[in-house]
Amino acid sequence: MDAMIEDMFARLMAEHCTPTIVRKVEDGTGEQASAALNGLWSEIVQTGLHDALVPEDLGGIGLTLADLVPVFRLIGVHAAPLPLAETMVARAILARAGVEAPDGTIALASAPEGSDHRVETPVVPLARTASHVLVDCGARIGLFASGPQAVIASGGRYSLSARLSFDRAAASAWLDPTATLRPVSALLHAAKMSGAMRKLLEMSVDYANLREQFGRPIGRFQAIQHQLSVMAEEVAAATMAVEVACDGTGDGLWPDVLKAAMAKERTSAVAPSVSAAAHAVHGAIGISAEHDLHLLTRRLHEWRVAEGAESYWAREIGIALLSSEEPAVDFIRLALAG
Amino acid sequence: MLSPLNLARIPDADEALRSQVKAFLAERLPDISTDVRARSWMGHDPGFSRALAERGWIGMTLPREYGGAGRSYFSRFVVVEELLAASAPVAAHWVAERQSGPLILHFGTEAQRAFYLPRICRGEAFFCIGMSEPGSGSDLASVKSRAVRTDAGWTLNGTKLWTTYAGAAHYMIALVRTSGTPEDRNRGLSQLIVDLSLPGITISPIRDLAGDAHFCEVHFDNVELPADALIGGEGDGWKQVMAELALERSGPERLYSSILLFDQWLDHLRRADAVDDQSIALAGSLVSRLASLRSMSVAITAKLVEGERPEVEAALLKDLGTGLEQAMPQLIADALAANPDLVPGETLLRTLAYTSEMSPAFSLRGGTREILRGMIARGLGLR
Repeated sequence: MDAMIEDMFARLMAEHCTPTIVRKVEDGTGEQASAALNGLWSEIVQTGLHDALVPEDLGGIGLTLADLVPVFRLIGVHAAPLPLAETMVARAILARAGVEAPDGTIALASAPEGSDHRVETPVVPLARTASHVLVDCGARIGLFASGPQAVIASGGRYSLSARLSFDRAAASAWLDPTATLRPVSALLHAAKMSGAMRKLLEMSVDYANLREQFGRPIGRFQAIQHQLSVMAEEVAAATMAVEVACDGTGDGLWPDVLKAAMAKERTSAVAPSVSAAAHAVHGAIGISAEHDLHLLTRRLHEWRVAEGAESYWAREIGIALLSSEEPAVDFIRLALAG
Repeated sequence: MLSPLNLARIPDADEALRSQVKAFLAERLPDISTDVRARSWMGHDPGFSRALAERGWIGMTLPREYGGAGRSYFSRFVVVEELLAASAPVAAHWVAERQSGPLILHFGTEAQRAFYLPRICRGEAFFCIGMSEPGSGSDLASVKSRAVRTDAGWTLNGTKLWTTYAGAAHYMIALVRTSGTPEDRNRGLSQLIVDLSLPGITISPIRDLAGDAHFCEVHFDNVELPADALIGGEGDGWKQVMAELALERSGPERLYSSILLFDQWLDHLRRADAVDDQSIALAGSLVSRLASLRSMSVAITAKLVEGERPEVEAALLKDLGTGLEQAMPQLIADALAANPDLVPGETLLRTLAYTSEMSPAFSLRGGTREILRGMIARGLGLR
């Protein structure tokens, strides 16, 4: 089941989420961009994968987060310009709450308690292309239709991230939450990061074997080899943390908060050094707009801080660790093991 | 490219051993001060090793016919993890149990298995590994110790250096040249089992920077060995040594060398009136790092259970694990001294002192960081 879905999704993304398509979307919001977005989204809808996490008796495929780890990784690998993973989770939450999901993609956000009239979110990756946003407002979760009027640009030239601002009364539905959105949303970013970092490692190894300086491929130099080895180590450990967290759901959807914390803490902690090593190996070409490297490294920096960077989640884990009386290894075995 | 490790779980039957080991440790863990116990798998206590053997916890993966328990690497993982989590002194039997036993099982003759394995399992035969020499460290293939065939067996000459607990071991498995010259590199090397009580062997302990004397210089002066000292094939020494590496590099001992310090520091924070946010986040990030590496170690154990030899994955885990073991004393020292007016208790300070002093060894023993990264680079297809 897993392998079949992974293969199908890999083919779909290879065809409909190419770097050219990602660039068209990032380049602007004109006709070309919306055609690219609609093309990718309609392919996903045709496969039914947008309802992958919706239980079968509610019309979905009935998969779990653990089943979808390879899919989330591929979303990261291809730098998807739409919140695909987020939409899968949002549609499952809505289905379970008995709320009909809107057409189009749905981003996830958490807003601090603010004014009575407005809902203001922190920076949300892919906020600029999402049709809707599910916002955890503390007491309740609101569903909002998004659009240019809600977007407060807060990223770089090609960034699809933004802060969002809504009129509280504009929510099309309010849900009583069974859990907070932040851990699952953080875990999705972690899973995408693990895919993107693996792709960066692959690109960097390939480039190191091709690019010649001083009469030989730069990958023959020990200094380059060791940078790439460290990169491989960091990617492997972060990937494992994501596996543990996605496996640690009671009902296939809501992750264990501490395991999600570990996944986000680990991926966020290594994202800067993995990104830096990829750029170091690629040299100047990696900085150019035409090279694909930045499609991933720019996202890594955004996903690293989205829903809390490593220090936020480290503190959450630290609080749990210090309020338990268990020695470290027992704490890990009971709270943070697969 | 390396494929990602698959998440693995320790089977319930193996996990069931954990409470037994915990109960044993509660009763039998030697009453030594914490900073001495911080030596962990460098702590040498033959009586403790024999008590473990009586419970059947030495050589668990070896077949029953040779005195083992015929259990999987998962069982061994559970027992070893509990011993290391408690920083139990396991050095006496450590090498024999982790490496020499499996090596003899895989490459030894029936007579060698029947002689050595039951003794290892009873905690009566302690082994050391003779690899490094005065001129051969990371460049192991350049070893100069040489065994020459005689009518009766072998004559061994040469010097091994940094051999851990050679002075307290009964046998050494030595990597020596049996043909050719050092220019032949890894061809012509063989592994010999050396009975350390034989004439012609001089063992001199070397004091370390913490005042302990665990590693030794072992000098062989025309040592006469029987023909059956050879383990495995003549000239196959290099291949056999490489086969041991996955066993040597992927276990909890590459994660938990600073665990006693970490636990003591956590207790210190738990007893404090107030804990600053930086210390809370540091505790969280260290335990998060450790947890992800432990899951990797379990995943690699699953590969060993499947009969694979995941040398590259083991190298990767060892580099990460020893890096974390070294980061712990460094970061905890900073957290404790972030406010110089708050003085922690002397037990914690002494444990911190020992662990900080010894931490450079964590990434040297069992293959240096640089060697491991070279192996990983090869696994990535860079050499």
